[in-house]
Amino acid sequence: MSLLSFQCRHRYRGGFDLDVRFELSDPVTSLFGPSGSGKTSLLGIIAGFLRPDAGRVLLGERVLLDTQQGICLRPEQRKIGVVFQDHLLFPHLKVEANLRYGQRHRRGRRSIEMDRVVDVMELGSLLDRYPSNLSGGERQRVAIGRALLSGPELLLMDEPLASLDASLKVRILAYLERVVDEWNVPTIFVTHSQAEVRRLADWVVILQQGRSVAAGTPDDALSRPEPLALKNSMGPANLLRLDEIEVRGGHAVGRLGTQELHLPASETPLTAPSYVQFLPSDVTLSRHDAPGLSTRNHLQGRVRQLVSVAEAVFVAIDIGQILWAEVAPEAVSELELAVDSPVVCLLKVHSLHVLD
Amino acid sequence: MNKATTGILLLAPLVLIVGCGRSDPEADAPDVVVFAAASTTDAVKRVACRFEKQQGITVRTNFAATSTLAQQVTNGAGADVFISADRAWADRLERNGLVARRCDLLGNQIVIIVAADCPVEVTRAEDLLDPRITHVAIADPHAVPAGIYAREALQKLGLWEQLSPKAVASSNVRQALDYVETGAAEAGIVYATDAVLARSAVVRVELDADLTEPIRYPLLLMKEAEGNADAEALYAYFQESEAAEVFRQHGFRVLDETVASDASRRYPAAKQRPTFFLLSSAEWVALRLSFQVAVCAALAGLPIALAVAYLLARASFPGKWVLEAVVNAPLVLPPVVTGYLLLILLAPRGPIGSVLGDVFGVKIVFTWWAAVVASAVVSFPLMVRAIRLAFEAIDPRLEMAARSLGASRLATFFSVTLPLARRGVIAGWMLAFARSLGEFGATIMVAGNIEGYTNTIPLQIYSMSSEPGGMGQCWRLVVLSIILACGALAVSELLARRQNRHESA
Repeated sequence: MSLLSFQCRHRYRGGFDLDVRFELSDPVTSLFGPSGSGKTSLLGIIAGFLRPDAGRVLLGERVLLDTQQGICLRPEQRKIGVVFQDHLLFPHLKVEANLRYGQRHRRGRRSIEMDRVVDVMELGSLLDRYPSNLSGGERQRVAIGRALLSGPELLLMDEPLASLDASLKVRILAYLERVVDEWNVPTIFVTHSQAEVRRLADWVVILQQGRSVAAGTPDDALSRPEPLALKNSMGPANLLRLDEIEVRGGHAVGRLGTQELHLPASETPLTAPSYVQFLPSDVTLSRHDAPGLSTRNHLQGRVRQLVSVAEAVFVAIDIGQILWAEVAPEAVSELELAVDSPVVCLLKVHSLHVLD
Repeated sequence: MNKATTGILLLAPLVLIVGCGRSDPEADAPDVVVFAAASTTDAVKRVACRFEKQQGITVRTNFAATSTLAQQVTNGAGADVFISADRAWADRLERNGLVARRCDLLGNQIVIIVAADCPVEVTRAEDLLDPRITHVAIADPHAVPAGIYAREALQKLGLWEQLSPKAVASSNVRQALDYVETGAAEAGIVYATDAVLARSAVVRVELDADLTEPIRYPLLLMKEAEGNADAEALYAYFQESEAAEVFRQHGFRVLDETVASDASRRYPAAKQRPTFFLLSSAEWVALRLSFQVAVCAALAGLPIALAVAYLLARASFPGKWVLEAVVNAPLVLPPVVTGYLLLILLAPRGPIGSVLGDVFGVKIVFTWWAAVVASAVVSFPLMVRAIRLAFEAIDPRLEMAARSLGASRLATFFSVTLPLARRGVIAGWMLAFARSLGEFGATIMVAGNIEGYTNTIPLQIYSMSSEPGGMGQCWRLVVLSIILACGALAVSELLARRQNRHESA
């Protein structure tokens, strides 16, 4: 049985059409797509803020919406926690009252212990403050805590990291992982960052112009041409998990299975597991491991897949984990790249971003 | 719209007004202006009409309570001929050197009138004490002659003490008649000449003529009309047999002998009012009453204003503009119109008044509750506006967040929307309170002007200013009104501006 079954059609007066169906059963799902693809509308439909023209939404066996039968539960009846992009903490209440707001109206929802949430989200020192005196990251933690304490059966997060700067993102990501581990609340989060999808999601639904174009595990779904063709912050990103990190001669070195990855200098000591993020265009491919290069990182792997997108070819390489390289179409023929050919991936140390 | 178009639109009415003024050929023609007591309206109109036909002179008339007319004349309104409903006012004008010549023109008497459907059978004045008669309409007993005569008669009968709480003071005697005809008051005391005019069935009870001073209508030729041939002609025409015939048809007695002026009379010398903390006891009563009415009006309006403001701020529905128009109407309607409509609705025979009377046995008009209703209606749009702005300033997604956390629509309203809008709500309340303190037009229509019961500060100022010499006495209440209004406005402004620092982010 799926956790969430969703099918809806909605036509906006502006002419935008939404027609999406998907089934989810994994604990953490990401709705991924560029802005204007309908992600936030989907969250609105699931949470009950938006009533679509036609559709049916089931949470477990509970019908949240069935336009044919005329069922549309009110938001407060759905037992769905929502974390908004801009947090939307109640400005007239202190942090503690914000957190307890959900608890106060819980009625028949699962009970989550306040103290534990305060511990895990590290909110203890904030309880007596008003939202206007909190930083962006602190507000986000309070917003997540508040949604959790309402005892939801499903947690929806609308771009939870979008309004935060890079270093804060990393910290909040860690909190999100703790939430998933600690309370097993199934979570759907909206994002337009492929790195976030790879980091957090077990399953991803890719949306484009009001349609779902792909769904699957992040490795599968993100290897489709649509996400690979996206540019800039929404474009493809590599995210490798480092199981071990050791410091050798003043430099951090991460372990990827049997291979090693030299990491850029970091102000804080790194602890495993950590993630390293870099762009597919920063990867240079070579058929042979050539000595005498300034590039420090040489990772051995085999080609898994070749995807042509516009004027580039994305090459998926299995180095124990999947790594994407973006190369010119001519390079594919010159290097005679084909599925299963052995390759060496060259990576400059300073093109890597370590996410602790 | 560009600036030129806006300019033309703004100027158009001005041009029209100026144009009309110029095109009126009558504007410069010297007319004869007659000020006449309200009780003589119909007769004087007919006499004036005949005079115009015969002499080809335009006569302009102004009818109101003699007290009002006398104040107007004293303040420089240009009257040529003045028909006063009593001699005392004529004497005052004469003393002020405004009168050239005078004679007693007409005689009249006062009668009790009773609405035909009144449950009490009234055969003599004592019957008015019956508790089923809740209100007796009379003209203002301190200033308007018809009211003064009525008070005098009741005092002679020893009934005034008991009846004065029931006495609804109207600004002139015709209004007292209207009150009885509409059922707003069960009984009234008017001139015999007015009772003749009653359109609906009223019972008429004669009062002994010797209960009052002889009721005389002096005819005055004003000083400034002396030597004006047209005015002199009209002054003479009023005394001719042709005019006398008309006056007789309207129930007046026509006097032919000139009675010497009798200057020592009924007006009590300016009352000695005991004062506490600068205010007389009557002023304290008016102040307390004003507060009581304003607080109740603003409180009664609050829940409805909250609901309507929320609806206007958040909901969209067909016909929303109708609701907006109805809510805002009292803001632009003359308060007297609002009062008139309320009187029609709330009068014992009106659609709401009859239900209140039949089902609950309550009569609202001419009680202080009527003042509350009038103030609440008139101040309602101000309160709604302020609260609506406050609601609209709140991000509706905060309400969504509350709903997703499990709060019902109602719980969300009370735990999120209302607390965030509280400053706007309090500011709106204060504004409505201030407006209620100053409410006059609608109040005097539905609540009358009953001393100690419905005479709020503005009504008290109004009645004091129409008493002889009262202008000098009402300054304390005028200052008090200014202080109260400014205070309430200041509090309202202060609250609207001051945002708690932690909520501004």
